[in-house]
Amino acid sequence: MPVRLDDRISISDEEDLWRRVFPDRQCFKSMDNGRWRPSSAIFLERGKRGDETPRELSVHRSSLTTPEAVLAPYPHHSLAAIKASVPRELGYAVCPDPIKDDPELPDDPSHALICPPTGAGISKLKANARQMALKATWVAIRNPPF
Amino acid sequence: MASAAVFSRQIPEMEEPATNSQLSGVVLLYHATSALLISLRRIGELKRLPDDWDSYGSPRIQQLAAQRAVQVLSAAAMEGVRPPQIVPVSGGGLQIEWTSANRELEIEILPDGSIEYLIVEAEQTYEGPMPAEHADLFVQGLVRWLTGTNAYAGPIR
Repeated sequence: MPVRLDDRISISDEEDLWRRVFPDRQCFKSMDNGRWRPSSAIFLERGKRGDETPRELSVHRSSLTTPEAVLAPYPHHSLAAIKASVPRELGYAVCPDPIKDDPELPDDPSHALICPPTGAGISKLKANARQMALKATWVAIRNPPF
Repeated sequence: MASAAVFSRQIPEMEEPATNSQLSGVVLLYHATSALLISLRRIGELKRLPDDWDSYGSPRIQQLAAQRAVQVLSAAAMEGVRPPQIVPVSGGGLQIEWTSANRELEIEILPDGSIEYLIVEAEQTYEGPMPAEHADLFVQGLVRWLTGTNAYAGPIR
């Protein structure tokens, strides 16, 4: 896996990073304050098909797209947001990863990656995913359990 | 918790049809509590998710992960805990989540069948790997912690 460099010039700490939430009621978790957050599982990536090691998390940069565009192919998914500063404070790099002319994926100039720190253990990534979920806000909620 | 009285109340559930033939071979359904049956149905549902279910290219839930999840859920059911939330994880794994008062327990089954857990009490968290060969005892210890009042005493060996 190539080393990814944190790109604070392209992506400021204040930029919202969006991630689609699988449309399942159990992916929502109630909090003590009466609010609902996404399950920490939404911020976990345990490897992709045909790829042994990457645990980079795909997100979309809010400055380069719209909720409608991100959700257009997925009419039942919800959309959660975290500030870029949230993963950075946990030691992650946040870097642009625009998709263009990919044989499988549609072009997406807003695509970015949240990249775990080198050597981060699986257990730590789990705890970090929960931290991200706790700080997530909702951009769009569909079929919530409340 | 697995007293004779509890067991006898569960006897009528022997009539419950198996919800997933691939999984029913792992668990003796006539021992299954209502909570476990609910969870087994849920695993069966999640097993039917297609590739790319998460919209980010994840493979479907892996068979090894599903089997291990059944093992974890069966062990938890022995403690009489209520049904957890069970969530798919990108990469082909599953996460099992319980909340009780100010305590949370997350057990993640990775695609290769390995197990990670995270416990939370108020602002304190502890996370680590769970040895699969001792998962039953480990899970039962964690569930007792979740539903009890004793402080967490570190990994259960």
